[in-house]
Order: sequence, then structure tokens, then C-alpha cells
Amino acid sequence: MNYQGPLRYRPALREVTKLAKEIAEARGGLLPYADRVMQLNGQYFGVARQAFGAGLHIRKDLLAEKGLKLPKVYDPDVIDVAKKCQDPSKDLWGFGQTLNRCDDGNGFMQNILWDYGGSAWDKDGKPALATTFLKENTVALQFAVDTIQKHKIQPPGVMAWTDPSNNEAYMAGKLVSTNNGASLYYAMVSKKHALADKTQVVLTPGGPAGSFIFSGTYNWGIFKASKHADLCEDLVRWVEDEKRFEEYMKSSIGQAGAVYKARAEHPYWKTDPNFEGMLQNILRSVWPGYPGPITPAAIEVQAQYILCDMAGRVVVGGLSPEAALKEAHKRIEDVYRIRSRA
Amino acid sequence: MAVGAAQVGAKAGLNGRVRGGLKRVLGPDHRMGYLFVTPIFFFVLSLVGYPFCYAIYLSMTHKLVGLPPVFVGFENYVRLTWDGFFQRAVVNSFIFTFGSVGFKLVLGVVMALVLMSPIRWRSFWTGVLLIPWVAPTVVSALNFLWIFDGSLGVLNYLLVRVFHVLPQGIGWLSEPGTAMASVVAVNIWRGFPFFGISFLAAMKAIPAELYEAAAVDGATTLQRFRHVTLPGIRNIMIIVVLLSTIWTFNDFQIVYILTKGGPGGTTMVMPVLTYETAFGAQRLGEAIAVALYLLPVLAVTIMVLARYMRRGRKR
Repeated sequence: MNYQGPLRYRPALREVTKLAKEIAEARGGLLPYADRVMQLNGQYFGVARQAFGAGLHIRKDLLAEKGLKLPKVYDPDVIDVAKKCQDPSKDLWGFGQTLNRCDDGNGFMQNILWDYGGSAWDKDGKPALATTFLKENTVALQFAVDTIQKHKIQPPGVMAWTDPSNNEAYMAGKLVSTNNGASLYYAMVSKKHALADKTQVVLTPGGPAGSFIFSGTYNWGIFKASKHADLCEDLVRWVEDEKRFEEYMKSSIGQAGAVYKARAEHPYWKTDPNFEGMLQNILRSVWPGYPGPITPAAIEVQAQYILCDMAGRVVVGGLSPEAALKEAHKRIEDVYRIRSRA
Repeated sequence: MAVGAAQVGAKAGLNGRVRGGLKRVLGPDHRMGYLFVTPIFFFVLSLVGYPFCYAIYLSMTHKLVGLPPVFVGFENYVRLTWDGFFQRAVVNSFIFTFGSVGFKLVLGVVMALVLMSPIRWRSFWTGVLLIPWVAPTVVSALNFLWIFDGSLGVLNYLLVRVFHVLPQGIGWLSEPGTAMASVVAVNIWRGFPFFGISFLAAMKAIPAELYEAAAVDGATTLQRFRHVTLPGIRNIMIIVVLLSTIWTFNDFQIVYILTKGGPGGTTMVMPVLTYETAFGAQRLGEAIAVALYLLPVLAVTIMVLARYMRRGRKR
């Protein structure tokens, strides 16, 4: 399952607390973000396998040409780098980051709210998009929209992108930088793409409140109705065997990120300088619902792309950031109300 | 005893009269009729009636995946009525449907007229024009996704690099003015051959004598089209428009593949919203309410059109 699985399919899943703890303890324990995503109130509904390493993929050759440093924050670093390196007349754009309905758009919108000190949720897990964090979220949303409308560092059509679009644009040499999972780096390295050696993967940039990211945790779930649940548990133990996982990790080129402490210390992560950014991103990950607890409502807001719709309402619908936040807040309150009844 | 016999006789007489009445109304072999109709009745009941009634029941429940339904009456419908996102989806669905069907109707008539005229390789052109209809929608939609791509799409490449019509590419699927137009264009491209080929069949069935008589009376080409061709294809036209309206209103693949209803709900139509509510939010009850919400409107449209067609036939 993906990170949404344990909470989304919880009613249909077998509780696997014993197995999850057994596997975690043998590997130094779960990393904090993965621990949050696998359980609800101490009951585990998934056994963590791997996190999808991610980072800002950036053309180091273009930065070197202009004598620029690697960016650490979006504003002003990414904006500066993008403006100085891009050349729209040659269809080369500084930053490729959709806000559209897809995982890439979801991830960025969630991260950027946190980066500016905001969130869709408060510490108690209640909707806070247009209440507690209205001020912070307004600035964050305005920045996200500005990358397209004011700074003009994003390519035309970026609001229609889906998950593979930025990978394709980057590999076609049309982007200076883009946020993506390790799949982009994997595709370039495994295909011996000319841009693989010209790419640096660095920590996802942050904002005034810090640099926040969520890493998707893939995991095993067992159906409650399964007639052979014990055999399923044995299968999970077998697949998660460390030697087997090591083999898998080494062929994944950064994609099989750590969810257990022992795996994060594996020497493999020192074999490529680009792995460092991916690993550090995983180690500092937070969870959907942060700064509150992870809840089924927080997961549903992700699954419904409500934050992406909010950005789209400003970029395409012409709403003000505050109006779009209030509109999205209403949808989130609905989700919260419905999920609280379940 | 005598009273009992009289009662039995009266009952038998009544049964006989009922049987006689049924015979008169349903025909002498009505028992055999029941036998033939019964399997179809149960078939329709189990495959159409039961799922439909169950869907209506579920739409009145709070049903999350994996949890038992909780009856909430009309709450889902009331909530949807005041939901801005749903309201936009309704408006978008009508724009998408009537925008597409209108253009398909005009293009279909043009296609049929061209194929009726004495052009060379008529069969070849008929085959070529049918390709959009024959090709799987998923394949067509994925191709258009690439054609419309702002960075790597062939449309922007032609307009900017080859013909130098635009200084910079357009985000066809991401701009407010072009996103809906683009998905409508793909639907038109996919659907107009069905109109064309249906109209072509109808036009071929119009007796040539009617055109000859009109020509003798001095009717111009336009007048022949208006007073002979159009009345001749009217019934087919109504059926085709009716079917296409239903299909287009329920079209999921094109919009989902091209935009997923984005950006910002600009192209969100009812089938995509139903899918998102059912499989994204996992709220099955509400998703079915979305799907059923406009059923009465569509049903009334269909009934009105059907009555209109029947009236035409009587005349």
C-alpha cells in the first residue's frame, strides 16, 4: 500500500501491531515519520517497507556556468537561480513544479504551507487552513502562485501537469530544477541519460519557518478477511529479510529509502553524493496532519487533492488566496465532520 | 348443500368470466406469453432493478468503504445542493455536453453531405473519418494529452517553432480559457463520426424522386437540403443527439485522462467527481448521490424527446 493505505483501508485491514513491532525492533526501530503513518492510536495496520526518497533535482552544469550556489530556500534562492538560469526563448524554464491534482502537486502544496509556518491542521488535528494558520497559509499560497504568475519561472501548461510531466520535461532539458521522487534520478541513471551526471539532488528547499517534507511510506497490509493471514505475515517476514532488502535497495538507485533506523545507517547511502539529499529528506520527514496527529481526515484531504484545487482556484479560477483558502477550508471541515462520525 | 353447490357454481362462473376477460385482453395464448416474459422480467429485475434500487438506497446513506452504511435520508443530496465544487461540476457538465453535442451535430451533417456527394475514393474517406470513433478512447485521450502538452506537445511546437504563429507556447489544458475548450475539442473529434455515419445512412434512405421533384419545382440546393434532407433525417438526428447527450454527459475517460477535472475544478464534470468521491474520498453514498443527482433532469429530457419522436411517427 502507499502511505495512505493503513488509515484509508483500516476497516478492511488486519491489525498487525505484533508483526510491525517485531520487524521494527530487529532493525533498530521505525523512523518517527514512518511510525506515525503505520498506526492509529497504537494499533498498526501496515508493516513499513520503504520510503520514496525525494529532493530538488537541479542542473549543476547550468549553476556552474552562472557561478551560482545550490538553493536552500525557495525565496529568494530558488527564484534567483531559476531566473538567472532560465531562457524562455529556448524553452528552458527555471523551475518545474505543478500545483495540479497529482501527488507532486499535493506534496508541494502541503510542504509549502509547513515551510511558511502554516498547515491545513492544528495541533489537535482540527481544520486550521483558514482559521489558526490563515495568515501563514495566505503567504505560502501566494508564493506558490507567484512562481507561475509573478516570477514566471514555470513553463506554460504547468498547471495541467500530472506526476510524470516534470520528469519528462526535465529529461528533455527544458527545466533547470524540479522537485521529484528518486524515480527521476533512477530513470536518468538507469538509461545512462546525458543529464544524469549534470544533475545534483539536494534537500527540498524550505521557507521562513524551516524546511519541511513528507516522504511517502510504502507498506504491507493484510486483509482482515484473509483465510491465510498467518501465511501472509510469514511472507512479509520473508520479503523484509535484510539480505533480500539490501539487494532490492541497491538496484533501486535511491528509491528504496529507509523506514527503519538500521537501514538509514547502511553504507549504501554514502555511495552516491546525490543520495545524501534523498536520505536527509527522509530523516526529517513529517506526516500528513502535522503539526497535529495523522488522521483519516488528513489522509482524505490528500486523496481528494483539496490543496491542489485550492491553488488551481487562484491560478486558473482567479480567486484571491484568502478566498481560495476559505473555500478549501470549508471542504476540509466537511471531510473532518464526515470522518469524525465514522 | 344446495347453497354450497350454488356458491361453487357462482365461483366457477366468476373464474370463467375473468379467464374470458384475460383471453380477450391478452389473447388466447396469454399463458404462454407469461412463460416467455418471466425470464426476461427476472433478468431485468436482477440486473437493472435491484442495482438501481440499491444505488438509490446507498445514496441516502453515509457509506464509507469497509464500514456498514448509516441511513441519513436526503442529507447527501442537500449537502451537494449547496456545495460550490459540485455546483461548478454541474455547470461544467452542461457546458461540456451541449458544447460537444452541438459541434458534433454540425460536423456530422457536413461529413454526411460530403460523403453523399460524388467524390473520389468515397469508401476510403468514409473509413478514414471513422478512425476517431473506432480507436479506443484511452489511446486517443493519451495522444491528445501529448499533443496539448505545454512543453513537449506537438501543437505548441507547430505554432511556435514551425509556423511562428505564437511567440510562446500555450498551456492548453491549464489556462482557464482553453482547458474546457480542449477537452470539448477531443470529445468532438472522438464523437462526430458517429453522427456523420448515422446521418449518411439516413440520407441514403431518402428517395431520389423527392430531390428530382424538388429540382423540377426549381428548389435551390439550400432549399433541397432544408425541405428534403433535413426532414428525411430528422428521426435519426433525434436518436443520435439523444444517445450522444447521454454518452457525453457520462463521459469519464477523456476528462480524467486529460485534466483529472483540474486545474482548480475548471474541467470537473459529474462522472469525474463521482469517481473522485467514490475512490478518492471513499464516500460511496455521496458518490452515488452525485451520479443520481441529475437523473431526473436527464430522464425528463429523454421522455420529452421520445414523445416528440413518437408524435413525428404518427404524422
